Amino acid sequence: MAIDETIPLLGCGRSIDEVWATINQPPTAHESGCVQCRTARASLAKLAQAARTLRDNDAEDASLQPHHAVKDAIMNVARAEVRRGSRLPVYRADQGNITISEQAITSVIWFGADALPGVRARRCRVHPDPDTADAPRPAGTAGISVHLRIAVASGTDIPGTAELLRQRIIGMITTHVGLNAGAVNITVEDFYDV
Amino acid sequence: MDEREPVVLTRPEDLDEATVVARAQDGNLDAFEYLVEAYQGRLFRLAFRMLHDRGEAEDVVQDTLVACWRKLPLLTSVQAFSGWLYQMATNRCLDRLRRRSSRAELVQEPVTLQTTADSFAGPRAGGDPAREAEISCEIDGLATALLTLPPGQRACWLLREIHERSYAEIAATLKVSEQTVRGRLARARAQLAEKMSQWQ
Repeated sequence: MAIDETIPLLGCGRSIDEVWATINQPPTAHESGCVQCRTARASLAKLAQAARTLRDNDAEDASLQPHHAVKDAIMNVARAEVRRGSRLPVYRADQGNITISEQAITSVIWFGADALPGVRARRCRVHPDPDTADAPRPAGTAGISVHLRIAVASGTDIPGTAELLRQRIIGMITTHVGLNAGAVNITVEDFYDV
Repeated sequence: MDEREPVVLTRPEDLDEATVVARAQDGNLDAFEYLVEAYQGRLFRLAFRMLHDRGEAEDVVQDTLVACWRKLPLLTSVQAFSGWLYQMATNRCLDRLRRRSSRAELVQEPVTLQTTADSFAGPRAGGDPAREAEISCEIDGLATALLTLPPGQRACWLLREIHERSYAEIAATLKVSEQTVRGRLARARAQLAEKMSQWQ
């Protein structure tokens, strides 16, 4: 809306924005001599001080927090709607199937990655290997592929760390889940400061 | 029996926020709870200063964070999380103010607002009564003046001056141009400065 884009002007022709931009600096020669600019600077400086007071006070005021029941209600919804992702077959036989949630496998992968210095595991996807997804199989022989995005600490040796992480994930999935990790695809998406 | 290490994840407080967001996207409740703890106060303060109603502000926080949980997997950039959350909360506040607009918005007199402020913990001035009175006066004057601003200006001013969002983030939050944000901010500053000088 055009009306929102107009910036108020003082009687001397300068905009409120211009005065605001230099409020923390000494007045210019024009500002010292101009009554409108002097008045505007004084009232804007008072506003800036009041804004700081409001910001600091509100941030420290323990009562300016929602009641604890609000968080409880939010977390109750989250727990009720928890995302476990799809379930992957661990064991399939004529008598029945055993499956495991994608999130359980993801937790194992995150845990495996967290132990490596300089690595933080982010989003993770696991898929059953397509060629064996529907066939009957004994325990411990099902294969999955893993797609993991990670952030690494600045200065990390990425190829070496990625290989260590790949081996660790394969080991963790075999030990903790009883599956075989075929492809472990790792994407470095970010750096973080140590 | 093999000796497997127990699966214990790194605590969210020991991770960077983007990693916590990513884990919450994948359904990790501890990560999401950490984000709720980190943001509920900020969102409440924004909503309270927008709406001047504690109950409505709590509703906005709850609605925003429940929507956050449900829509989080769709967020494409973890770095955008904070702005995305502010956008949802601000839009909920503006929706509520639009619904109120059938009647003129109640602008409380300073004396009423003082009572409201007194019911909270109150300003801290290291036990100096004169400074406490001064702080209380500043807060009341500004909070009352804020209620006289049009909602779009109020949102711009709060996001910029209290929540320290960038012009670009505010423009994205309100789906307007940065030039519009500058215009609203300048008008809000002019009006607030004028109102405050009238009361002092």
